Amino acid sequence: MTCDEVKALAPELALNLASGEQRAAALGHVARCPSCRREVEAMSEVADAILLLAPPAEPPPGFESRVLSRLPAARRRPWRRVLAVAAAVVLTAALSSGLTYAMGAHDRHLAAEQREQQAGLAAVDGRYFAAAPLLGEGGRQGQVFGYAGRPSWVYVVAGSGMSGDVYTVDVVTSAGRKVPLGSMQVWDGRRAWGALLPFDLSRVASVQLVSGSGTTYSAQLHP
Amino acid sequence: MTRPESALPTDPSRRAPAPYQPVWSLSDEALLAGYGAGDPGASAAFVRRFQSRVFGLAMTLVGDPSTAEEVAQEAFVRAFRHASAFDPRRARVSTWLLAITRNLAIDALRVRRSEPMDPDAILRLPLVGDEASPEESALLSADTRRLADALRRLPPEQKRAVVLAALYGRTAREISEMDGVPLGTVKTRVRTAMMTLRKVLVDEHPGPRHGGSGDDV
Repeated sequence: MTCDEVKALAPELALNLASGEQRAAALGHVARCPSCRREVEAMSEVADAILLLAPPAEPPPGFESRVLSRLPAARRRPWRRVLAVAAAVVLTAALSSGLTYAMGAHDRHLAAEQREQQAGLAAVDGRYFAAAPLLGEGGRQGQVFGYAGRPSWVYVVAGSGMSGDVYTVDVVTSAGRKVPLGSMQVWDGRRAWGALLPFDLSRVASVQLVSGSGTTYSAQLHP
Repeated sequence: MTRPESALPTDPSRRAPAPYQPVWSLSDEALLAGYGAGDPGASAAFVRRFQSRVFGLAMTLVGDPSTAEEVAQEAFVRAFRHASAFDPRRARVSTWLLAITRNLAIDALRVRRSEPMDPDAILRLPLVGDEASPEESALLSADTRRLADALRRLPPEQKRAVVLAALYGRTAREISEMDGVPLGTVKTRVRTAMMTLRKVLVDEHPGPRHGGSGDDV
């Protein structure tokens, strides 16, 4: 199949109107041809966007609880953990702004802030927070926060200098092992993404983000 | 390890707003991850964030509140089951969830209806912003507004062909039989319509894909 043929077929591919044979031939071509791939993706975005044109409508009262009651109970987890995570996120914010505020302020203010933070951490069985700049070409491009608790988690904030892309997020352990955490989509400007860690934060040396084009960013949480 | 904001580069645009976001304004992707993991807080927030769009699409397609609720509920249950398979490189959360909803609505319609669809009903299909006040209209994204306007302005036969394919999942052959026109004519109509719709999005966004409905930090 030629580029012209694939491009002409792109609307039908996006709307599932192409025959199986046409689809197979076109997809074989698209796998090798970035220009045609972009064309098919663009048409798929149009097809997707048409779904957003249906007017929203509020469902009948009680809809949310009826949906939630249908989710498998075995996988639903207690509120305590959610509250712990929520509290920890708020504490991250408090810690970040608290430190900024404390810079240059009187020592007793800092001590008071730290006491409050420690009390907050203890309330959710947390141990400590870590934060580090996310460094890439041109210097600091965002921040990474880490929380050591049960569970431990990391939270990545992409700065406005990071280009729109899907970034693969990995943690590198102190033993040098790379563990995939997931992928983070950055569109335009700031974006944040978080994930639970499969082990304690103290085992994390750094968090790495790699874009589809290979650009790498890294935050050293533990030296 | 922890660095104060004052030690960062001095470009003021890099320093505001605050480098965090509250849990209730998590991105769509983060919320879906929490939903799929069975986190009750994220699940409630996920359903609340998307329920009006999911129910709205179901209602638009099946036209009956009771069936629309069944479809919408099932869409959320399927999204829960398949959350781990969601790939942000391929779709936004909103369109992924709405595609699930559309497919379930199509199944419901196939079970329920055997009579041919009224051609005029497709042309009268309500679109977002149809009767919106200027304030409501301002809440729609610029893309959505432009796309809805472009769809309204399409020649009726093109609009009908593209709506039947994109929203009702009809095949080219089904559309050809419904409209009594050759298969090639249907494909030409769909192709022309899609090129027109694509132009309104691409002209405004020459760069990479823009964001979903999640809140930027």
